[in-house]
Amino acid sequence: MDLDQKSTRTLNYFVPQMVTISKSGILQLSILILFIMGGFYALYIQIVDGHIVTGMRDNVVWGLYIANFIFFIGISYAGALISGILHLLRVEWRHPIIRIAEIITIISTIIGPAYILLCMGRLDRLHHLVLYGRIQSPIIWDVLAISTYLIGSIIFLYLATIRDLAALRDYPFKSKWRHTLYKFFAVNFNGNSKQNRYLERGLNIMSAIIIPLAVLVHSVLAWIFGMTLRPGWHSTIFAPYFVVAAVFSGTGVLIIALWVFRKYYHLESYITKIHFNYLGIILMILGALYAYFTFSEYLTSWYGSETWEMEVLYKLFDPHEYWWWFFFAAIVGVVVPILVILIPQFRSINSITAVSVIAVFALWVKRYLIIIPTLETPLLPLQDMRPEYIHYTPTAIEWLLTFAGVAMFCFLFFLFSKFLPIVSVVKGEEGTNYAELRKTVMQRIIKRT
Amino acid sequence: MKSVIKHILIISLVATITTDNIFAQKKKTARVQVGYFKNYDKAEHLVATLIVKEKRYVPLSNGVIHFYSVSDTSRVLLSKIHTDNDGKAVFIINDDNPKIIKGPSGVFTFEVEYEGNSSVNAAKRKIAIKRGDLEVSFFQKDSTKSIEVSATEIGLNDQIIPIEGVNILLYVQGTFSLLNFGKEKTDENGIIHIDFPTDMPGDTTGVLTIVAKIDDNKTFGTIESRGEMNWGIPIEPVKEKQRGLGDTDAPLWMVYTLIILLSAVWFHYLYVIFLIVKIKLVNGSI
Repeated sequence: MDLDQKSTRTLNYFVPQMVTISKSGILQLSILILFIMGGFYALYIQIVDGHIVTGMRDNVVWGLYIANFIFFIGISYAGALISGILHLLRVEWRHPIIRIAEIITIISTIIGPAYILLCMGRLDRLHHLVLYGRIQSPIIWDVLAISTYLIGSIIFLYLATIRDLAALRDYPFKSKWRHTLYKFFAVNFNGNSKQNRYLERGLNIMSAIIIPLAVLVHSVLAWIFGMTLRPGWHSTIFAPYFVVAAVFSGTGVLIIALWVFRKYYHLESYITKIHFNYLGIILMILGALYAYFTFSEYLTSWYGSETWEMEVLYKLFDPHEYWWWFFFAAIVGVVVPILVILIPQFRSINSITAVSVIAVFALWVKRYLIIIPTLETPLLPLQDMRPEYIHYTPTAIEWLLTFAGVAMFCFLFFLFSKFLPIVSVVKGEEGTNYAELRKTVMQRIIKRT
Repeated sequence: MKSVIKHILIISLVATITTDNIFAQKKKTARVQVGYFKNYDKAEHLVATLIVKEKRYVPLSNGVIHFYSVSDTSRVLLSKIHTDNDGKAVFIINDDNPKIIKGPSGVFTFEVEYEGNSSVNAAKRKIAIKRGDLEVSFFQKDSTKSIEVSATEIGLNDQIIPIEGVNILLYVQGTFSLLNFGKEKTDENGIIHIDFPTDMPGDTTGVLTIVAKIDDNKTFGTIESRGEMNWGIPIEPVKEKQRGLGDTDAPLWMVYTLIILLSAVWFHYLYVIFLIVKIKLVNGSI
């Protein structure tokens, strides 16, 4: 496939980084593997000794694992939504970030559901979900939605990488296996007009489908909680609230990923301040929306004064229970990113990344606060129970598996960057076509007026 | 000085422990309540309830209750029964129990006693009852439906004597409790007449269970009698909703929605895969 000068330059820049690994890279990779091994050890302990090694009991049946599940599915959503919308709108600055967004989607959609498996007491009965699952159950909706979403995201990412795969196929790699691999996945693409047309059609379809699908996936996840008659969960705005929170945290993760890869691969000329500024503004708008939903949700609960809802609210506002976490998740994690991005003097690549870290961590805490205080407030009062049955405290096993999940996320990202350039090498033709089309339309409008 | 303080401390400690022990040995007050019941199936029994005073009176389980039949001159032990979790002990009165003593004017006197233990005081209670009976009859003339209840007692020589001036309550048996629809005092013949309401809902065939009751009377205790009549308005049986949220089979709209949504998405996936195959098959120049 013939490449233009810019694409050739980009390819030549990325390929050496793909085939080699620095000493610091090996060290970082070793640390990640260490965390992952720690996770496997924790998993072994959990399988051998059972769920008694976790903080979950009969009353608080969900803990860190489900918080992690919601968190990962949330960030996957942002990747799909941002890449889908930017592709459909043919936004020019999307190219350096769109692939990272798509990779975030796929990796987190793989890691997130793994936490559900960790939460299950009887993994040997997993197939019962398919054999005896009831369509009425939101859990089944979730299984169907997430699996469909994951397959859609893989197809979308694959379509978006075909041009780069073709370029890599034609690159004179020393290793034969790379050549074979790229040749297989490049599906004879040589950039002729018909192939470009088919590819663009496929990309348009997938980007149009992935947006509602992502909304649906996170809505279904919210309905698992929203359709349960528990205080703090049974809310009609839970689905849009989850969706907004998901894009908010996902955009934060995308900014962090951009910052890391920009530093790691020295991509200053590809990922510029413009990208951080645009994504920062998206983060700010989503933060404001998230704050609005949070205020609306808790105001309605408080005003209703329903006994059990108030029980949960008291816990969230009690300094001896969850107040400081709630303060961080609902106020610090929203106000700080908005203020920093809103004031131009504060706006820099590092500050935007720093507030993204705060937002992402705040959103993780928020997921924890959605689950635990509600489960610690059963509808039937508990008496003569051991404290650990009423109050949930995560154990070292759960923390090990949580860190292992984050490490696995980074590790898979690293692996991916060794097979494909982390930013698009070959631009599609649609960019120029779209620009030309817009130019023609504008000229016609001017002529008429 | 130090030794004085030491002695004061030791005395205080001993005094505290002793005082605690004195309080710990104080016995709790117990009470026994007793009632006589005659069911609609003519089964008679005495129910004794044992309660002890904690912060308030609470039932005492596994306490032994002695049931006695007493007269002016004698006291015969009938049975010893342990109380259940509700503090209740039930003694069934059999007609042919030779230990039960019949007093003058056909009065039976029973005594229930709890002998107490190391932490609970003893308690006892007497009850004197006459054994009575209720008979329910139903009459219908044109659209008027009426119920006649006759109350009788068994005299000293087993003769049947009408009970005069006793309150009789009438109920309809509901799913969970009794629904009261009348109350009247018996006349000199021991009889009451009550018109039955015409708007009472029955079961699917209109059948109602009508209950007549003398409730917690000082002389006769609680006596119940019942009968069934199809005087109610038949109620349409509740049609069970098919394919509801809680059924094995999902609601059809849900099934259709799921099929349509998944089909729409998967159709596009397959089409995109078809496009990828076409990309592979197109082998032209640029």
